[in-house]
Amino acid sequence: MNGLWVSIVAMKMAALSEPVPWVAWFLWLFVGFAGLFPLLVAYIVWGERKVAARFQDRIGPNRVGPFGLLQSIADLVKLLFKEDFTPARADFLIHALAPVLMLISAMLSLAVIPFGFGSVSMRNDPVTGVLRPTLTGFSAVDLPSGVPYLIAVSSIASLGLFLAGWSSRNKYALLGSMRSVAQMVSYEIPQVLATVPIVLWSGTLSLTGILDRQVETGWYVLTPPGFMAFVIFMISSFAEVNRAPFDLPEAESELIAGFHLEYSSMRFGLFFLAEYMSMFAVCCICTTLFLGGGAIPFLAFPRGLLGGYVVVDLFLNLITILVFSLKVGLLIFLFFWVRATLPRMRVDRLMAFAWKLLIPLCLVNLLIAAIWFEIVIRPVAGRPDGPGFLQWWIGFGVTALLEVLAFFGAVWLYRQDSEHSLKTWRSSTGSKPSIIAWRSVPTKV
Amino acid sequence: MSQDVPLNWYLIVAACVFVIGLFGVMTRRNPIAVLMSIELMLNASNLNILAFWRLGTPNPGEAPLTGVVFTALVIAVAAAEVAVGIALILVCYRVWKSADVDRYDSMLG
Amino acid sequence: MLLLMLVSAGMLVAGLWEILIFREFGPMRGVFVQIAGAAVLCAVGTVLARNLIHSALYLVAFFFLVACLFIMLEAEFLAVMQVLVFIGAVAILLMFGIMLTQDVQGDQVEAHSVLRRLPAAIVAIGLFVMLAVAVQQRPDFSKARTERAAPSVAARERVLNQMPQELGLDLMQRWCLPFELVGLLLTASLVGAVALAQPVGSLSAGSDGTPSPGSLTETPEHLSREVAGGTHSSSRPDLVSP
Repeated sequence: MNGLWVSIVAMKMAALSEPVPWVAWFLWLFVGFAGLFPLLVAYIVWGERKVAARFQDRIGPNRVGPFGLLQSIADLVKLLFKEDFTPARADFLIHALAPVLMLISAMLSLAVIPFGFGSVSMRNDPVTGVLRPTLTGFSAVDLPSGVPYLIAVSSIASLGLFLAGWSSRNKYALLGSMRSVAQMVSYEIPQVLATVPIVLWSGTLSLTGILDRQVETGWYVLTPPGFMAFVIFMISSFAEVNRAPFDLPEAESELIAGFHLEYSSMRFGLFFLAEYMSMFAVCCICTTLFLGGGAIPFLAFPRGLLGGYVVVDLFLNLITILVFSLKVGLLIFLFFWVRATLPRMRVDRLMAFAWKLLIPLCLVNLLIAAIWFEIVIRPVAGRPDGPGFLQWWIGFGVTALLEVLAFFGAVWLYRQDSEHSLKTWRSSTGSKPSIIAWRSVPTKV
Repeated sequence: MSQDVPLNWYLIVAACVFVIGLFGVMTRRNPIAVLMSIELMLNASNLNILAFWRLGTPNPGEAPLTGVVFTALVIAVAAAEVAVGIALILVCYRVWKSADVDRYDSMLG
Repeated sequence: MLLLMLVSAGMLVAGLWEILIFREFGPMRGVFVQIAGAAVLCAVGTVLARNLIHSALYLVAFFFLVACLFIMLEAEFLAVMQVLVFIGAVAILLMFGIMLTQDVQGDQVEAHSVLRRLPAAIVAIGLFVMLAVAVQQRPDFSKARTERAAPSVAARERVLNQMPQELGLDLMQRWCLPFELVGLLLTASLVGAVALAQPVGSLSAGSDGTPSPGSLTETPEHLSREVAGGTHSSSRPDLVSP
């Protein structure tokens, strides 16, 4: 399906009579998506085991190869040679399709990420409409509607999860998948709402355009509304890729292994690969949207040098890709850190957290982002030197104050609500709430 | 020979899908299957609108994005329709304890 | 070894099939024929599949293929919206609906009778013939775009490259009223769906702030009670575990 999608987009570009370098397509497909990214994921797994071991005062894998570097490869070989087992009453085709769907969703979202700066070409400015030099971005595809595309392909993953649980004919797997779909559908909303300020400020949906705006006007994470959006985006990303502390779909102590309970051998390996691949993809998205992609902190220098010579372009792309991977690595470390530190959340708390805290906060944050747009970005639209010093600080002060107020207000309301519900619970049942009965009223049918 | 796909190919495909959806609405008994067939019909109409927008001859003075706006609105309406439809089906299931449109007969004369 | 042979044989057949299609129709038409054919097959599968989850899966494939057709019509923003709304939201909602109104495993199949199908098939085929004849009556429909004079194609080519932006401006200026009305409709349907799906008697209790997000979370609750070794005299007899 990946190939189909790629070929259709290529066909579309050919129809618009843009020259398509087919070599680049093949390189992306076979070196990138079929080779480099899975290899990277294998080493993310190794890194996680090492980091988690350090957190638990252990050494971690150290037997296969130097520092245990070949451990993931050995695990892969082990997975490949295990017995491929399908439950007798399982729906065979869907059972086989589900892990592939999840992997496809993770891989498709990597297709639009600008890993490097690419070259420079003249394009229309999204805000003023004037022609000016713009980064082209080093990505497989530069979709004009990149942000909704990312949301769309990440929603395919919940479908794969659901099918995995349903086709296994196992209560625990079904429970895990029901939980996970409810969780992913809920956390998709704050995730999407957190990207809206970015789109508002950049005036474009293309990820390359967003990267270009950030190199010009500064990283979005450094502004108060941008920082809030970044935090909300990261929290909901943890839930979207089912990582701790939101790993309820695979909660071992309650559901054995959740949705992938009935999977063995390489099919389980595919789930594993998909989980880490989507984690990697989410970190890449976050880096592109909030952390300025491959831009070096407080410097816009690679941008001015691009577009002259091929060799210079290649060299600068290498640098930007390295910076990009450094940022992604830091975010991935954050994922490891949280997993090693925080305990798992309860189901009702999880849903309440999304609906009663994150979504209201996102909506308020959107308003504050609009204030930032009016103070800092709109007055200087089209000017090449970006926002002025004084303007930037006025905007910073106003929005930071509003952000703090909004944050504490939302948390206060959330606390009030949960205390109130606890009180009414105690007065109505006369007992403490148990963990299993997270729904207050027994259903009458 | 031209490489473009002509308009009537799209129209035939859309008509085909619409008719299949109609068949589903008439034959399926599970209300959710009926809802799915309605989704098929809505998608067929979307395809039709978009094909006319892209390949049909536009009227003079027409806005350049009429078909796209129309399709976007239809998508929104389809989403609303499914949400309410599922809620209605759940209520019907609670009242009649069955998922069969033939049993929902309280307004039968 | 057998697997390798099977895979290579499959690739050979697929390659031959592609060559055949492309020699017959040319690149654009070849792609269209394959996508449209698959879409029609998926639509048939949706209507005829006996297992409802399979039906929903065919529907998902159909939505995806329609998104591909949207891309061929050069409306990629709408294609993305199609995947986002229909696969991400509608299909998931439908599957939840199936789980809530059926045996939890969703395996109940419904019986089809020829008596129901025959009149429906006659009506459907009749309608299709009517539509097809009507379409073929117009000779200008069968011409490709490049052969016709299209007055405002230039304006359209301009908006194609900035479709999201132009669409947003259009929605806020020219189509403001429909846009607002759709917003109203969505809000009304949201409220209506919550009000409808709220179980009877829990409306007063549901306001105490405890998470009672409607019927979407009913099934996990029932299941968890059963899993925990609870009573099988659940209030819903259809949820008996297999």
